Amino acid sequence: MNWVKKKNLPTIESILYEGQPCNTLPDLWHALHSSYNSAENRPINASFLNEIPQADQILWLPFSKQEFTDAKCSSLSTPSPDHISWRHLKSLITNDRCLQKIIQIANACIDLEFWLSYFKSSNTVVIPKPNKNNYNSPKSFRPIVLLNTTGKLIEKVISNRLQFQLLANGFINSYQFRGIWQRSTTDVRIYLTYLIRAGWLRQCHTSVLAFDIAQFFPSLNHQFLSLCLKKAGLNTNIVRFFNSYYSNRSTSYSWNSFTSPLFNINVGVGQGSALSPILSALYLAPIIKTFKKRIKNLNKEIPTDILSFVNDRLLISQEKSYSLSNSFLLCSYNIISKILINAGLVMEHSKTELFHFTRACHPPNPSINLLSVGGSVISPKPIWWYLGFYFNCKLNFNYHTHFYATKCLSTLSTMKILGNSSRGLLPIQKRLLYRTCVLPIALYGFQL
Amino acid sequence: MQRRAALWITDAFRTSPSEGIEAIAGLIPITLHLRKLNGRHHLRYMSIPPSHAINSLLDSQHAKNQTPHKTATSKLTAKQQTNLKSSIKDVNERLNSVRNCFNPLHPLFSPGSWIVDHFSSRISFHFPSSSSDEDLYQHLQSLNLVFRSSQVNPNSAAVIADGGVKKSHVATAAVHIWADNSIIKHVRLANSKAGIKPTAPLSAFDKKNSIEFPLDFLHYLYNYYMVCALFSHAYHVM
Repeated sequence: MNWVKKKNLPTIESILYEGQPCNTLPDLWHALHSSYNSAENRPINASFLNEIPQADQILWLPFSKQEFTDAKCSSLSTPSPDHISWRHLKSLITNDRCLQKIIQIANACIDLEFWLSYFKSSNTVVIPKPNKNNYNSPKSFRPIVLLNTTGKLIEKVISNRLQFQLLANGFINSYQFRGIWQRSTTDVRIYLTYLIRAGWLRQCHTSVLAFDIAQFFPSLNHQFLSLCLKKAGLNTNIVRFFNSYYSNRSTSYSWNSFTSPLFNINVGVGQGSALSPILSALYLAPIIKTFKKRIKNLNKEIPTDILSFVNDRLLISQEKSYSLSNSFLLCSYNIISKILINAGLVMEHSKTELFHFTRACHPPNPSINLLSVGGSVISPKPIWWYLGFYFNCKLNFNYHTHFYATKCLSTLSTMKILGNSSRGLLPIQKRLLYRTCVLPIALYGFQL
Repeated sequence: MQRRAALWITDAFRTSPSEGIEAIAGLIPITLHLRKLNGRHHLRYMSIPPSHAINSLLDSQHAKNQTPHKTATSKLTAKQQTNLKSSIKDVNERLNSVRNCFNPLHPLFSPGSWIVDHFSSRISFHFPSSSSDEDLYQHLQSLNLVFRSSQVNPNSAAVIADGGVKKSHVATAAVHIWADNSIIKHVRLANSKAGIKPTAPLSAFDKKNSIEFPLDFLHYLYNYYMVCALFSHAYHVM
C-alpha cells in the first residue's frame, strides 16, 4: 500500500491564460513564463531613494572554512539539473581540500565580480498554492527555483553575512519581520496584541488595514535592487557582483513529466534561492523608511504604525473615533501605494482587509472606502485570519482555540489506525508521533 | 486531549487515571509544558538585536537604546500597568532577574572575523561523540593523551571547558587554560536564574556568547603557537 502518492498537477487544458485554455505545451510555457515575469518592463522611479540616508560601509572579508561548515540545509532538498544533492555536498566539505577549492571559487567570484553561468541555469517547478478554490490560473501556483547546490552553498554563506551586516549597520527596519534573524511571526503577534491592549487602556480602539503585494518575489526589479544594495553600504565590487548574479539568468519550467526549453529571466528573485529572503527584506527597507518619513512630514503628523511581514503588510491606527482612524488609514494607504508603484510593485487591492479591535458591546464596525485609491469599499469581517491566527474584535481567542483543538482531536482519532495493543507502532514511536505532530499544533501561539 | 493521546500510547483502559498514564507515557502535564515553553520564550528577548521592534515596547532599561513606542510599558501609568494583560509585562519581569547581557551584533561576531576563522589551523577541538557512558569513558582516555602531549610541547596551551545546569535554574560554566603543566587562567561563569545554556563553554569559542572569554583566548593565541580545546563533558547535565 502506498502511504503517500505523488500529487499530480491538473491537465494543461484546464489552465486559463487571458481567457484562453492552454491546448498545447508551448501555450502552457508561454502562459507560465509571461505570468511569472509580468513585471518585466515595469517602470521604476528610484528618486525617492535620495531621501534616505546612506548606511555605514560594510567591510567584506574573505570567506572562511567555518562559515561553509556552518551553512546547513536539509539533505532531502531536491537537487538541480546536475543531480548533486546536499548529501553529496555535505560529505564533500568534510574533506579539507574540497572545501578549500569551494572557498577559492567563492572568493574568486567576489573578486572578479562575476557569478558563474553554470550556477545560473535552473529548473522551475510549479507547486500549487494551498487552499485555493480553483486551480485554473497560473497565479494559483508558486514557481520554485531549483538551483545548483554548490552555488546554493555559496549563496547561503553570502546571505548569512548580509543578514549580520545589514542588521549591524541598521539598514533593515525594525518593523520588518520574517526572513531576518530573530524576527519571527510570534513577535508580530505579540507586538500587535500588545498595541491593542495598551490602546484599550488609553480608551482607544485599534483599526488595522492589511494589504498584500501581488506576485512579490517574481516582480522585484534588479535595477532598484542594486540601488538598494548601494544604499545599504555594500562595496562597489559586491554591488557589481550582484549585478552579474542577476543578469542572463535562464530557467526551464516543469509540469508533471514535461520540461520546457530554456527561458530568459530578467526580473525577480527566485523563490528557492538562499539569498531571496534577505534581498527581499533589503528591497522593502527603503520603502518603509520613506513611508515613515513622508507621514512625518505631512502638515499634520499621522500616527500610523506599519508592520511588514514580507508581502503581508499592516497599517495600524489607534484613535478614539472611527472616522478619524479610517481617514488616517486611507491617507497612509494612499502614500504607501504610491511608493510601491515607484518601486515597481503592484498592490493587490482585492486582498485588502480591514479590522477594528474594540471592547464595546455593540461596535459600529464602519467600513472604509478605498475607491479613490483604486480599491473598493471594504467592510470588516467578524473574524480576521492573519498569519495562521484567528482574531476577533475583543481579542479573546475562543475561535482560535476551538479551531486548533478540533484539529488536534481529529488528528488524534485518525492516528488510532496506526496501531493498537497487539500490532502497529511501538509506544515509543507513538509518543514521538504525538509530540511532533500534535503538540505543536495544540500549542500554536500559546505565547499570547 | 493529552489524556486521549496518553491512552493511545499506553493502550491503557478507558477509565485509567490521567496523571498516571501521562507519567507512564512520559508526557509532561500540559500546564507544566506550557510553563516551560513560556519561560524559554521570555528569555529569548534577552538575545534579540537592538533594532528589534519588541525592544521599543519594553521598559527603558531593556529597550537597548531604542526610542520607546507611544504605548510602551514605561509610558503607562501605574494603574494602567496593573490592568495590562500582556506577555510583554511578563518578559519585563523576567528580564529584570537576568544580569548577563551581550550584544549579538558585536563586530567580533561578524562572519569572517571569528577567532576560528583567523586561526583555524592552530586550534583543534575535541568533542565527545555521544553522551553514552562507554563513549564518554573512551573520550576521557583520548583527552588524557591529547592533554599530556599538549603540556609537553612548550608552544601549546590547552583549554578545558565544562558546563552544567542544575534543576534550580542555576547554570555554571568553567574554563581552565593550561600551559606547562599549570593553570594560567581560570574563568568561571555562574548565573542564577538561568541565562546561560549548558552549551555555554562551547559557544564561548563560537560566535554569539560572552565576549570576555574569547578576548582572553585571543591573547593566548598570540603567545602560544598551538592551542587545543578539550571538552570533558560538554552538554553534561548535573
